[in-house]
Amino acid sequence: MSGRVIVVTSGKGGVGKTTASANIGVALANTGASVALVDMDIGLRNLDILMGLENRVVYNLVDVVEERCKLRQALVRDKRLPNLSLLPAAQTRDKTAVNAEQMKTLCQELRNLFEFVIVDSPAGIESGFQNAIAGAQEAVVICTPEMSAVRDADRIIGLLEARKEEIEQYRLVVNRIRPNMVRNADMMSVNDVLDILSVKLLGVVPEDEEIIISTNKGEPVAGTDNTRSGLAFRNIARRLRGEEVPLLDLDVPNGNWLNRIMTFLNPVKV
Amino acid sequence: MSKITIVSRGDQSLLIDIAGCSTFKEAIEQLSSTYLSAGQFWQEQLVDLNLGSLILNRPQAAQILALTNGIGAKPNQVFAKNAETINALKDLDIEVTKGNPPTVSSTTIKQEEATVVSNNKDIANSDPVKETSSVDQPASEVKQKESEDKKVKTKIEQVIVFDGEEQPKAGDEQSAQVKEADAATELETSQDSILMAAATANTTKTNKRTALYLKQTLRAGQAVSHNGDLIIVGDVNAGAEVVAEGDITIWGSLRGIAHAGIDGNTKAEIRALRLQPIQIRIASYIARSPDSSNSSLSASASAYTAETAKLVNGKIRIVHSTLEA
Amino acid sequence: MQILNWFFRLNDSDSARNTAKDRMQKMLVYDRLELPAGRLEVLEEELLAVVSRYFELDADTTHFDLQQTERKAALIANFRLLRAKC
Repeated sequence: MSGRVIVVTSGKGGVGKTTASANIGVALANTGASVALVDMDIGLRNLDILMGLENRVVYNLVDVVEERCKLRQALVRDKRLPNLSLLPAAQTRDKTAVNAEQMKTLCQELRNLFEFVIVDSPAGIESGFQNAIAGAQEAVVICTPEMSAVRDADRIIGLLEARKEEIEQYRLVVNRIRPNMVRNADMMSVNDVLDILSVKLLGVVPEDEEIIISTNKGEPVAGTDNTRSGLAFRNIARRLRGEEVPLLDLDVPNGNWLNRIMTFLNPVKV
Repeated sequence: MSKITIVSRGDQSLLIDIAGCSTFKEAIEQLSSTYLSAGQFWQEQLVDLNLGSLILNRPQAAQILALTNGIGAKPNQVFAKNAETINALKDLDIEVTKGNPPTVSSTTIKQEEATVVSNNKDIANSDPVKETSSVDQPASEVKQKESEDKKVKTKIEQVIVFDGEEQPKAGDEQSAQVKEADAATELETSQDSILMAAATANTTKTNKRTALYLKQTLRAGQAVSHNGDLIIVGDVNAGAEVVAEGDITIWGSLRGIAHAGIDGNTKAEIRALRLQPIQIRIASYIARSPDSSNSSLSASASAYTAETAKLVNGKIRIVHSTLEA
Repeated sequence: MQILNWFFRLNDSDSARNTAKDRMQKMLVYDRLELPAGRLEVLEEELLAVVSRYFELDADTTHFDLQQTERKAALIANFRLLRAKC
């Protein structure tokens, strides 16, 4: 097997990289693919918590790289999806514990075992990020419709473009969009962000309180029905698998009659 | 992120690893807080310093050495990677070993031993009076069980069973353990056992090992390992890791990972004022916290209940610490 | 409908959304070129000096702008020429 290694990155912290990684992983696994989630945020690991697997972590990525254990020993199988595994980051080390060469070797090994290898990169553009993208052929850039996040995403895209030989394609996910705010011209729309960044869109995820609830439960929203963010992540997974899936209609009119008239008169472009 | 790690190795010296510090200022701050918190412990202690790739000029290197000397420790070997630092140390007539210090070898953990921990924190930490009323086993039967098993004088309050991926069934031998919680009566009859405990303590395995005493809360990313017993006055937070060849005693809450008996000692124990670990490892055995998040949330709100984790018949069990023999 | 749409979008130009977009676009040209602040102004002066060696210019109407399409930037310089110098 020669799987696809996809790095999830953003530049700015707190835009939902780890949440997106977990959900894309779960959504891909739900389509039947075998998936490995790799937490490259060494020293500040969180992916295990989002997946609800923190109590099962015995070995980690650094243990594998430093040959204290076999790769298979370090992979933690998901509670619900047997075809989904997590390779946790080390908590008591820092990002210098792994270098780009080691990461490439590791990704190669993972590609032989899984159809998809999703790498959650740390925030920033320094060595941690450089190592995270070292073994990847594709990138998913996460960004929220805020100026600081867009600027950092632009920087990341510039760095990814500079490595065209390795990173064959990169696509954008606009996270935490609030249709109401876009409609009232208080927030940049998805098209605004795309205009600015000139990049291919992979998906749009609405702001959703369910994300907080799911994080607390350790069960990513993509695994549960009837959440809008979960559906958005499942669509992203289908697009990653090459399906043509239309963007979510986020324009659900809610509340008072004035809002509905406004929506009708001025349909929001997200 | 780990800024400072104290590693006790097979030989006589302790390794203080400050390679995680990126600046001199950080190194000094971390070092002084570690030295201060451990107090008398450092007197006459042979100490190796790992400076990693920290860049130090001569006065800075001198300051770090002075700090180490000041608390009574004896610097033994110094490890450094940066050329400037090595030169600075050479100027001070300090022997420098280039590169990384040898690390402690850890035992391999048998992954297949990973188990489901099923304990009922709600019951364990709730009001004892309430609990007595909810116990379905008659007290007489409890006493009988205790007298049957004279070796374990502790009252078993929580039972952790590992049974592959399955929850223990009711009536199962492992789960049909005693849940008796009449603390008051237990205290009345406990005088003898305490004396016995004192008498037997002298002959236990602990007297040969050295203990590392740390007065400090360990936060996420911090790790302490020691080749003897480990005593921590403070909490071990989630994301922190404590590893010892002997017992681990925590005067505070254990929320992170604790691994006692890392060299394979199955007699090693882990005790804390409040046991809420993500994982407990003793020798090559692992127990993990239950998957349902509710129990840990409710437990954090409840009172302190000192508990000990130990291996009983190849299973990690959590028992009430107070009356241990 | 057009009129109503126009009505509802009347104050769009100074909405938070459009302000953000405009600021972003200007900022990113500089970011992508790694252009230090002030460098463009120096270039403007030098260009003006060179061009005015050959032409008489209407200095008030000269206009410099950095624009970009598809992540590629372009410098647009606009000179109103009055007559050639001999």
